[in-house]
Amino acid sequence: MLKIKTRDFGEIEVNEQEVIEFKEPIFGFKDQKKFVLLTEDSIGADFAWLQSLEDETLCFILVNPAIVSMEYQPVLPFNLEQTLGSGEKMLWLVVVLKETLESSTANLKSPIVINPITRLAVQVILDENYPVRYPLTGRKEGH
Amino acid sequence: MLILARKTGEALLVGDGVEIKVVEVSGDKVKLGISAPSDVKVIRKELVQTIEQNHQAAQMGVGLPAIRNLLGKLSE
Repeated sequence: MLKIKTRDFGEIEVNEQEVIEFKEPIFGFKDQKKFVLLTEDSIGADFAWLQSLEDETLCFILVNPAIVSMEYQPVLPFNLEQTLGSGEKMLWLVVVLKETLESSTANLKSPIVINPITRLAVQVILDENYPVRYPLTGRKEGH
Repeated sequence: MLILARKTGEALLVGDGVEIKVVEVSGDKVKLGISAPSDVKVIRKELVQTIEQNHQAAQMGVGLPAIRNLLGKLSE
C-alpha cells in the first residue's frame, strides 16, 4: 500500500497498482505524471478525483461523459493504442466547478483517456468540433 | 475579421516575418505551413483553451463540501 496526501480527503492509502501514469502530461501541468483516481461512495462512480501523487494540492474533478452529454462518442486518435496499450479505454471529462452547477463546465474537446489495464493515460485534443466549455447540466437541460 | 481566399501553394504575410502558406486542402481540413521568428509563439487555439480550462479546474477554493453538494445535485 501507498500512503498519499490528497487535497480533499487528507492522507489515505491506495494500492500501488492503482497509480495512473500519464504518458504525456496533462496540458499545462508538465511536472505531474503520477495520479490516482478516487471516487466517493456518496456521489457515485460517475465522478472521480484525479489526485496528483507529486503535488497534494493538485487535483482535478472528472465526470463520466454520459452524465454531461447523450451524444458524446468521439473518435479517438488512432495512435492511442500505441501510447496506452490495447484494450478498452475509459473516458473522463475535466470539470471546472463554479459556485453553481449551472455555471460549471466540462471540457468535451479534451478528454482524459485511461487504459485501465496498463494504467496509462493521456489527455487528448480531439479533431472533432466539441466545445472546450460545455455546461455540466447540458444533459439535464435536454441537449 | 479579414477574410481572404487562397489556393494551395499561396501564402499570407502577417506583420514582420510571419508567413502562413496553404500546403494542402482536403475536405474540411487545411494544412498550413507557418514560418515565424523564434520569439513568435504559434499554438493551436484549442490547446490554449484546454490549458486555461485545466488551470481553472485545478484551482482550489471550492472545498469538499461544496463539491459534494454540486455533484450530488447533478447525479440526482
